Amino acid sequence: MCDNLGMGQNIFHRLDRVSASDLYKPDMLHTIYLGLFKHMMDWIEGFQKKHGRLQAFNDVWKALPPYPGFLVLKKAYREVTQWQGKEMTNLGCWTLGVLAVGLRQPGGAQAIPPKRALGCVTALVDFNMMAQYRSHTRDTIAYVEDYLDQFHRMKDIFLELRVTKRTQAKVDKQRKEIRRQRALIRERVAPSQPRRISDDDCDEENELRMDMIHDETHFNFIKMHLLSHFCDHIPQFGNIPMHSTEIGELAHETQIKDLWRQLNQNDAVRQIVHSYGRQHAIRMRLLNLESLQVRGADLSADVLQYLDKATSTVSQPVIRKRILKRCPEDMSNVVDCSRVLGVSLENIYRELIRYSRHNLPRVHPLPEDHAMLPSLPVELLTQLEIPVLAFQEADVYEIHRARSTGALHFRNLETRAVAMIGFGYRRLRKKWMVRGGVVYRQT
Amino acid sequence: MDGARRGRLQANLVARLKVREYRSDHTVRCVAGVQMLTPVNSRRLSDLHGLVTVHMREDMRGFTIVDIGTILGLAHLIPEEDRLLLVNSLIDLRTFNDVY
Repeated sequence: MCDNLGMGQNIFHRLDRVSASDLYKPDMLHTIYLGLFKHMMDWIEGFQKKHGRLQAFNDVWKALPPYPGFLVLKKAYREVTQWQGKEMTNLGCWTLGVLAVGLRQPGGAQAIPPKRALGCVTALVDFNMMAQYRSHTRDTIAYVEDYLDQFHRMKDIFLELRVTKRTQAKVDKQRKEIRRQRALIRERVAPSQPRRISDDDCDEENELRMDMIHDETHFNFIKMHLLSHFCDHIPQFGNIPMHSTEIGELAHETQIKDLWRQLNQNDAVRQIVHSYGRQHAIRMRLLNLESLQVRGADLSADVLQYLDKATSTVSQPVIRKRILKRCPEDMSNVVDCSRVLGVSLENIYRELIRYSRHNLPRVHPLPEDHAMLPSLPVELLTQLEIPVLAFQEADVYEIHRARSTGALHFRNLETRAVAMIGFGYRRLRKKWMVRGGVVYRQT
Repeated sequence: MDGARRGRLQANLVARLKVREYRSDHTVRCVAGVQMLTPVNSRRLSDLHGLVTVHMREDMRGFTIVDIGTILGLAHLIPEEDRLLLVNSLIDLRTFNDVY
């Protein structure tokens, strides 16, 4: 295998239980986020420009609504000088939606090229999403493979946008040569057929141009090839995110840069290594003591006193609580509520009665008498915090802050807070928890 | 079953209310007034991009009152034309796994 890869002899071959070909680990940060996503954005921009939809794409891009964990975009993709890895991670989450809206024709019709372009981007984004899973089954690995195959089948739509300067020069040279030869022939053709000849010439020129582009242009670059190793890697070594260099690069800030600022930079390397070593040892010691305390071990009084004072190194679980913030709006009953919200009284009465019948215990229903309903005390609240369990986690919650804007619009476009409501129907996560499937988990 | 959204319905959050039952035990009910968004394309994923599209009415038809406990979280909707909105199911892994 190593011979096929052209690796030759290196120092790893002499080490026991080390396979040089297995040393490479998929790196999502540089392969996908800073690699293929960056290429993809160039292709998308070129494609939009070719179809005259770049302005629509940029408009939708700048009007994206917020979401927990994402910054609201104020500039178009090209207007930002440098995109960092963290931003490129988020970029994959909304690119498909923006592209779909940007390519939408005013009449709702869709031509074949946009369909293939959307299919290609969909496959790449889906591949990226599935690759982020922290545990896999055979089914999820099959999904990853399928998305990658789909991406490779459809990526030809962007081939034209990978034309290099050298290829473009060749294409121009070829076109000039064809036109020169054609001019010589045209001198002998009757002047009554110029238009037909011109159309045929155009088609022929385009065909030759595309042939040359297909011959000269390709997707053979290293990051495109590295995607093919993702699927093999999962059964052998576990999930992909744990091998990403993103973790190491983020640690660079806390492990090196923070300490560099704190120390006097005299023999900096030694100081940083010693300081970090000491801090790490103390953190580990505290964790051990806390663990012993939880198990009821016999610890001395001074240690217990210190542990009570010290900030716990173990993150506290988020309390599952919904926080509501009150609105300063002057509202005390249902009539005021109707006035403020712009919803008819009849509508509110009907919905309150329906809610009472379906959700409240029979011993404590809301009044159904239309004479009593108007005086029902009501408070208007503006904000609701919803703890949402993070994906594939048991005790990590993300906080979604839902705010109602009423008739006001977010960034003068669309409503700001839109809730996802479930009515008691939950199902197994098909892609993750498959009964009888083999689960590969991070160890 | 609700098409590709797997029982999750998108709605515009109009208001959150606390309703006090003053006649008996002064129990406070936390409810939300929402305007349901109408799914288009028969609640199926689009063949083109694999996302669900919903429509928001201009009037307050579809207004309903639900318990706040039924609200699962925020949805990321990308505005299209004519009050159409794309449900961005790729916004995070949880949504990606739920809506397909």
